[in-house]
Order: sequence, then structure tokens, then C-alpha cells
Amino acid sequence: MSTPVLRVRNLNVWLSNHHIVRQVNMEVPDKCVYALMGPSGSGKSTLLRALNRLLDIYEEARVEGEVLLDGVNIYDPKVDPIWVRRRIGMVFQYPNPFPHMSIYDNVAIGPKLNRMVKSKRELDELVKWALEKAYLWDEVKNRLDMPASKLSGGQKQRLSIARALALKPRLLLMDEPTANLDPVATEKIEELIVELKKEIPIVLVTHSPEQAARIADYTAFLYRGELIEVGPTGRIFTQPRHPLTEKYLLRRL
Amino acid sequence: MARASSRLRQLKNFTGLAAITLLSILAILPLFHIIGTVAINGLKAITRSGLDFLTKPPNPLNPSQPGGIAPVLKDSLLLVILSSIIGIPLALLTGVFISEFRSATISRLVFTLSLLLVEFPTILVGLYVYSVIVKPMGHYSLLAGAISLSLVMMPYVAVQVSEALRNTPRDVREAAFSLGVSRTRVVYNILLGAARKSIIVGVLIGVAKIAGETAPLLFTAGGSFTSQTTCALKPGGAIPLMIYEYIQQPGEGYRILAWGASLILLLVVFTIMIIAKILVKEVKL
Repeated sequence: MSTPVLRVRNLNVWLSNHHIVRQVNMEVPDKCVYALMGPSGSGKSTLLRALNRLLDIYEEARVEGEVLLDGVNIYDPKVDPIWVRRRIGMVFQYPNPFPHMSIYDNVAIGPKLNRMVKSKRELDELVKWALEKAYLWDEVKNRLDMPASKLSGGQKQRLSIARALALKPRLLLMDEPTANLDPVATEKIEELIVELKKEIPIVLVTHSPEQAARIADYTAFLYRGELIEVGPTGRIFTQPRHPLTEKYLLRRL
Repeated sequence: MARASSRLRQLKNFTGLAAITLLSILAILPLFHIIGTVAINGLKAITRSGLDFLTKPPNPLNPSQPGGIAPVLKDSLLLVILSSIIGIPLALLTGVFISEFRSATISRLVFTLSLLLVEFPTILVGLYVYSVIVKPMGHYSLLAGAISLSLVMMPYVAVQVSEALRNTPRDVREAAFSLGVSRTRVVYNILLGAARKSIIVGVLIGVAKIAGETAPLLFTAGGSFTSQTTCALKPGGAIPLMIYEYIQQPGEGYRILAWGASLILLLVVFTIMIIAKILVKEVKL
């Protein structure tokens, strides 16, 4: 395992007074898909939102512990949460392009607000690049001005991915990105994830062990806020070491 | 036995339905009566002057040719525009503040006060503006009226804006924050846009509300209904104010003009409301 991109140390999260994430330690290596699987309510989404400080926007959330992105603790008081979120892209469970913006603007808004480009031409190129990376360019290149709300579910999700990619993130977080998609759209997104990981490591939350088995290099099993077992996906699925993991994989949990 | 109880049930059902229908009719009957009365009397008045009703000054002493309400129409328009210019930007800022800094004590205070002010007796707003603006200036003015109206509009629009922002879906909000931009930019560059239709609806209803307000203008705008010039710093009239004054005057000409003005006011307010209604239907996310 090369140096990890993301290292989580003794992470605890409380929402109001509920202890949602308990003492989690994990390491996400570069150029791989790292799946967080577990039954609903196990704290996967909350853990994910702690990794880019998105929890900061909720007053009821409290985080303790360290999350190191390339060695920098993102919870260090000197670190700006805005910088963290700009470096770590995120894709959500429900395909959520900004409904009032065009396809183009959805991708362009991030780079524009972050002043990443100097000219309109540069922005055009970045938008094209992001849409190509997200396997969407060919389908939308002639209607970039169309409202994003008119796309199909799968296209919307790929647009959300393009929106995240346009910021050239160091790491991509995905919160059950295919939970609301049909099997064909799901397959396309999974293909995309496997392609993307060559450049950007991905932390993927999934409630489907099958998805983890299909595309993840490493799989972590989360249960009631605790990280029960982590390992290379093949090993986790063929020789689970913890009885809870085995039970979960056999659908007995 | 079973059949008898079934018949009883049907009877109960029928009486229940009949009672509800009757009560609903009773409840909406006055509304239709008001609209009908205004429409009939207003139409009678307006047909007497024709298009002149919108373009000529009033001539209440000649009931056969009563003239129109042009000066008041202009004054009313200026009042609505001025109070929107003063009220809407401030209400937007307040609305954003209330919804985005929800836990701050001052923001909760502002929210509670705004809710309270929405139901505040508007005549007191008029009195307040009279004492702080009209008295120092020494005379009534449309500007004082506009300030008074903007005070009536602001709390309502602010509450609507904050509700609209609060109702933006959680995932759109999260997506906006995940782009690594500050809270200010999230709100102004993304969320206000996403909520823009509900916000426009709130603003429109606020405008419709003040277009028909009388009480805040009683001690502020003055009440000249014939002057040909419209100036913000001079006294002026407004449609509701004119209705209030003219309907009390003896003489048929006054009453005709008041009814005509009522119909125009009703049409203006209805148009704004209908636009708002159509927009509400279109709000899709």
C-alpha cells in the first residue's frame, strides 16, 4: 500500500447527543475505490460528511479526531473548511444538479466561484473536460444551455459528477451515487467510477455489498458507527474475519 | 337489520355532505357578493367615462362626465415603486439573515419581530411615520407614504424569503457547500437562484398587499387627488385613499369615481395574485 491520500484517526461524530460515528480509523490509498458498506443507519453518510467537513454546516454536529488529507489535518483550527471542500469533491445519493441552472452553468459554477480560470475559453475547455470525464459530453454537447432539470436521472448524476470534477479534486466522496438509478444507469456510473479512480481516489458509500464487490479495491464494513473490518475487497468477501461481517454478507444482520 | 343500518349510514353521510356544502357556500358567498358589487358598480362608473377614466383627472361635480383617476393612478404607481425600492432589498437581506444565521439570538429576535410586525396594526405604522418624517418635514409627501408602506411590506417579504431559503432541498444546499465556496456565495450565487420563484411570489404578494393599503397612508401621503404633477416630496394620493375619501362625500360624481377606482384596484391586486399563483404552480425542483 502506497502512502494513503486520506488517513482517519480516532474519529468520533455526534449529532445532537447521538454518538453516530465511533472511534473510526481508516486509510484510503491513492488510485483506488474505497467502499464503505453497512446497513442503513450505520453512520456511513455521516462518516463521509466528516471527511470533507460538510458536517460543519450543521450546528448540531460535533466532530472529534483527525482526518489527514495528504498529511494535513483538515480539522486543524488553522485549516479553512472551504479549502477542504474545494479539494475534496462530493457526489450525493439523489442526483442533484442545481435545478435552475443550465447544464453548462452547473459545471462552470464551481470553477467560476473559486476563480480557477482566467478566460471564458479556459472555462469552456474545463467544462468540456469535466463533462468528457463524466461520460456526458457526447450526450449534451449540443444542448449545453438546456436546464439541467430536463436530463434523465442517470444523466443528472453524471452531471453532478462533472460538477465535482470541474474543481479538479484530490479525492472524490460518493454517497450511494446509484441508490436512485435504474440498473442501466447504475452500470454506466460504475464503469465511470472504475475509470476515474486511475486519477482520483474515491470513497464510495454503498448499502449494496454487490456494488462494493464489483468495483471497490478496498471495502470497509461499518456497523452501528463502528468500523468492524477493513481489507482488500476480495479478502473481505471470501474470508471475512469478523462474525458480524460474515453475517452481513449472508444477509443475516 | 344490516340493511336498516346501511340506510342510516347513507342518510348520515348525505346530511353531513349537505351541511358541509351549505356552510362552504355561506362562507364564500360574501366574497362573491363583494366582487360582484364592485364589478357592477365599477363597470357602470368606468363605462360613463370610457378610456378617460384612466387618463383624465377627476371631475366629481359633473356626474354625467365624472372624468377619471389619472393623477391618483400615477401617485399610486410611484408609491408602490418607491416602497418596493426601499422595502425589497432590505427585506431580502433580512430574510437571508434570518434563515442563514438561525441560531444567533439576534436573528431569532428579528424573526419573531418580523412575524409580529406582519400582524401589526398598519395605522400605527402610519402614525409612526407621521411623527418621525412628516412632522420634521412640515408637510405630507408621497415619500413619507412610501416609507410607511415599505414598513408594512418588509416584515412580510422578509419572512417569505427566509421560508423560501429554508425550503431549498437539503441536498441542493449540501451540493452548494461541497463546491468549496463561502456561505455568502452559497446563498447569493446558488440558493437564492434555486429559491427564486418562491421569493418572487413572496415579493409579489407583498406588493399586492401594499397596493391596497389605506391606513399607513392616512397621515403620511396627504391626499390630493387632482394634482397633475407627481412628485415624491409633495403630497399626493393613492387609489385606496381616494376611495376612502370620495365614498364619504355627498354627490353622485364622487361615488361614481370611488366605485370605478375600486374596480381598478381590485383588478390590479387580482392580476398580481394570479401571476403569483401561476408562478407557484411552476415551482419545480
